Amino acid sequence: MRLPKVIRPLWLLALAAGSALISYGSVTYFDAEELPPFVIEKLPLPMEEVWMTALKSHVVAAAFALPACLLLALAFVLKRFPRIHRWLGRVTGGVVLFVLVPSGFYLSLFAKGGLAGTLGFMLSGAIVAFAMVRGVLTARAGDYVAHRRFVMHVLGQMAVAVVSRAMMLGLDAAAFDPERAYLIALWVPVLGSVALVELLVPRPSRRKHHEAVSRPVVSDAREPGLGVAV
Amino acid sequence: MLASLASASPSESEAKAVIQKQLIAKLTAKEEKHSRFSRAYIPPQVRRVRVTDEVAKTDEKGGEFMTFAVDAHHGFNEEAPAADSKSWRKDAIVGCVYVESGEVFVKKNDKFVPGGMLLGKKTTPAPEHVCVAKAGEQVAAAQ
Repeated sequence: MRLPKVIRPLWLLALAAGSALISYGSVTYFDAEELPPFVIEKLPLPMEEVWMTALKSHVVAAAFALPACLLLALAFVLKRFPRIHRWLGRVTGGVVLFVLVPSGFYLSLFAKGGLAGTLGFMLSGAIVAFAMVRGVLTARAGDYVAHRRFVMHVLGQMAVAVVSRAMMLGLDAAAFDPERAYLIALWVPVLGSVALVELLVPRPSRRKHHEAVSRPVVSDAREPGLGVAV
Repeated sequence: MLASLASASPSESEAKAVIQKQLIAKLTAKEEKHSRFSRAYIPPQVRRVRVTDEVAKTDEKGGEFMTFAVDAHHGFNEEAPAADSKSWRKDAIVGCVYVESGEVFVKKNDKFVPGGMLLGKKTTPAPEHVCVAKAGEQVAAAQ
């Protein structure tokens, strides 16, 4: 299944704008004088300093990782600057696996919505970690069809940050109960992203897999990280 | 004597005015500064203050206070929902106000903390006597 071509750039643009908005709003976490609302509603916290460190690490890692993933998904970057694609991929993989996911797991223990909130964030983090590791391994093996599929799952879960916030605004406008809205806005994009990637990104068939391994030069239609909107 | 004491006690409207000034107005101003594109709670469209004590209570240190609740309303297209509308989320904030000193305390995890906490100020839990009526008054209120 393929989406109209216009949707993909619009979707990437929307994610870039959402990422910029989130990063801009997160500057307040570094204000030593005043606590932002997201921190206030968590208080009191056991080991508050540890939580704050995890939050700041997560915010910085996400502010880098989501735009980086968007750059990695651009055909232009892959075609014109393949070395930059590779190096940016390596750095992003490191940031995601060693900062974003571990800090996210810790923060999920204190998530709103109780166990359902914690499990939602943990599932998202687990998908990101698994897909990123598989994405790295398949890229190293030259299996770019599979690589694209795995990194699209990473991007799909990263997109949850933007989609979830947009859904929360929409549900608030519809006067939904805030607790319920929070959980809906978490679980729907987490599961929806998995479903969309599974639906839209072609699975590597045995033949394609063989071709990808033996012929790593990418074509327009089969570039890793391209041709799909999640 | 009783009459003079009663007139010295803060009224509901005075309590509401202090809560509005010391808490709600500052909270609204703070919320306007922060991005709504966040995982933090989304500020309500409108809040209303209810003073839940008919008369002021006295704590162990002699301070007079009144308990209150703040209800919140979310959603668009209803600037001023009816008072009995089910769309009000009741008790979004609960606490007590010392009208004379202008101090507002809010309940957080069964403990009272200065209202400044909701404004992002670093605070410590309020002393034990705060917002707790002295023993005799609690019995009288129960009866």
